Amino acid sequence: MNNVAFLAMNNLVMPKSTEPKKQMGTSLLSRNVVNNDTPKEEDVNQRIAKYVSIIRKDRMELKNG
Amino acid sequence: MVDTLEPMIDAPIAGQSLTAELGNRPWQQPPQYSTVEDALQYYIPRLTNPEMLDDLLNVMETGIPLTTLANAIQSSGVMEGKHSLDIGILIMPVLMETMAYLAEESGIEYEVGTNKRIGSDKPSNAAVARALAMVKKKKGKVSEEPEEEQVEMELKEPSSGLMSRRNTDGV
Repeated sequence: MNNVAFLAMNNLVMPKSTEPKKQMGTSLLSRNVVNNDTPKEEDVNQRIAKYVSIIRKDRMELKNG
Repeated sequence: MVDTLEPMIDAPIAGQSLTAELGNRPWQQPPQYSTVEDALQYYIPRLTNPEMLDDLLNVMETGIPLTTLANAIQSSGVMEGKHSLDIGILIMPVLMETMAYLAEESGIEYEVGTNKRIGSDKPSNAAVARALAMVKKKKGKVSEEPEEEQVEMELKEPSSGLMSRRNTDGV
């Protein structure tokens, strides 16, 4: 028995919820941090996991009210 | 993919795929949708289409797992030349999650098909045979071991009969 959908669903690595980053101070003595806000190119698996997590979140909201 | 252990009697005969001219089949042509997003843009409106949704919900209500449904949907897409098999396998989790969402929205009980571990209820015949062979082997060892011990015990005790072997130590 080789259920591909079962394997595809079970092997999906769901993205972790990212907490918002703390804003660094802009004073003169604060560390100079380069702002790198350019979005990284995601792997197709990550994209799929992201789509699944979005739909699942909506489903849970629907389920739990 | 086949989810049952029963033999496929209506399966195509070997070499049947080679009877048509190469390139005549839709899956032998370049796929219509080459990315995951394009394929999802094709499937999601179809799944949420009220006409198809009713049929889909009816099928889900009968207890057919979402894994089987997603597999059937993507397989038909591959056969129609909509997308490649790789794209089909990649989008299956999204299709399953969408179907689960639609089922819950309609208040229908459904079977996901991912909770059940393959072969969890019943061990395979091969596993049973292996376990039996191991038990037999162990039993064989256990029955042999006491005999060896008995032999050793017999050797330790020298016999004191007239015809017994003389002790070389002279004791």
